Amino acid sequence: MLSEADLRSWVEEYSDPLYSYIIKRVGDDALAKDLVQETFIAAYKNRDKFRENSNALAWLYTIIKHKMIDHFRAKKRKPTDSLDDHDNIDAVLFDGKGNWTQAPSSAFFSSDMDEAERTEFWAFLQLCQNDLSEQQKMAFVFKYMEGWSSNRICKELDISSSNYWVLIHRAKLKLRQCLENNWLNE
Amino acid sequence: MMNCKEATRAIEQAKEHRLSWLKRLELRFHLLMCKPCLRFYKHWNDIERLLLNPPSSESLSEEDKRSILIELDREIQKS
Repeated sequence: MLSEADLRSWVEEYSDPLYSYIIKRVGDDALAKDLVQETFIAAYKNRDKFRENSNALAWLYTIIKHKMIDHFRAKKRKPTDSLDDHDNIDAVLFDGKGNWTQAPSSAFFSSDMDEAERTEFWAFLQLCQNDLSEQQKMAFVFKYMEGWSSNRICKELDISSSNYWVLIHRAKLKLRQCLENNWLNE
Repeated sequence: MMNCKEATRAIEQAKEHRLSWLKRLELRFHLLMCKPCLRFYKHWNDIERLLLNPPSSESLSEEDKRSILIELDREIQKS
């Protein structure tokens, strides 16, 4: 069975990759640190479930992913609330007829970037994620960072399909606009 | 005729094959005629590609790691 010494050495070895993974998804630094800490505590409590010779970091990722799902589920409003009613991004970007009022610029996001540029992109992305509601962030993270299908997101996070499409649409509109304002036009 | 607000939404649905052939055709036609929506579409393709390749730059301070160890020890003492 996993010893206490093993776990201590895991904190040294694996807390950075876990933090790097989770901060990109939840955005909030204090929350990210809490989730990393909770992951190690959960690992200790479930130490009898860890099979020797299996990949420790992969096991820890599984735990922290569940912690993230729990976090987003807890943040979810009651299903009776109509979601995102107060979000006016549609009214900001489109007129009454559904035409752009702030059209996307002709600048482009190069996908051919060096490490420093990629780090910069991710820093802006993290900043822009703060503009999203928790639910929009949840839809975005599971769709684009975890690569889940819309079906799986709706099922595991218990949201209706129509809710999902509203959330992901608004998340994309906001993120793209924010990245254009802050990163492309800097 | 599909407007820009509908088209930007349909782009996402098209990717998951959630559009009827008629809507798909309308979207394709809209993107041919509408430069801003085509830019929106391309920007998102670029962003998606960037999302596939995150840097692993963030790290915790020694102090943060120490506080994790302290909490872990506290948990170990409990049991």
